[in-house]
Amino acid sequence: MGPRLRKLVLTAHVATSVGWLGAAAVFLVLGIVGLCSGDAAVVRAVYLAMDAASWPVLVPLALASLLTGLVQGLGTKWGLFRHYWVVVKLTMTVLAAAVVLLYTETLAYQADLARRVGDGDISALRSAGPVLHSGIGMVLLGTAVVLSVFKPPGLTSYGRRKRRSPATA
Amino acid sequence: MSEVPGAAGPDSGHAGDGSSASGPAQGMPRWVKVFVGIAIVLAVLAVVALLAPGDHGPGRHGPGMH
Repeated sequence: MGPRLRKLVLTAHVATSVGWLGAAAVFLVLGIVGLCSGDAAVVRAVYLAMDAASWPVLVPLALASLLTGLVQGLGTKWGLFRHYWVVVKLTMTVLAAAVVLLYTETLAYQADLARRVGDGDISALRSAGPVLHSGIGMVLLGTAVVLSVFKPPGLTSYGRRKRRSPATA
Repeated sequence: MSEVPGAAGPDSGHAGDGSSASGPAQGMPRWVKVFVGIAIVLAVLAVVALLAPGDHGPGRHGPGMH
């Protein structure tokens, strides 16, 4: 990749990745409100809002972050499997994106339940799932940020082979 | 902070020299072993949570299984 394209992809990667982290933070707060609020209307609104934001916001950010990260790795000398920090970060991001995709089904189910339950039955609606998933997601994404900044040393065996034979890299 | 971090891929600020952060270490670094250990513990916990009855089960992730 040329410098301009590299910067463009990096900008997109940072924007979507930080946006994903922010979205996870919002989902964490909404999940806590859904668990703790005594107002039935608020609890129902929380689960409806999370479902409404999952496909238009959370999923595109997760997939865009993953995609731009793959392009960054493949388009630069960092590669995808040469440095342990890249491998670890990629693994965490793939897992987090997969959980996001899977969890949209649960969010849709909870939103459907929120439309059907009455004010006196919101205990059936409350779930620790959004708090758990977005909390773990924030830890994973936060760790990815730390890895990006510090780039802890360590070449994989593949990376060492590539270093010894740079002509084939 | 020399570079802005991302969440999925490597930064390109040092893309011209991908070896700048690698050092001379051979084998798996200690920090990677720590990460792998944590990942194994979390994976076991996730499997237990998925298999346990209650709020979080496999049915919660699939349509028509609730």
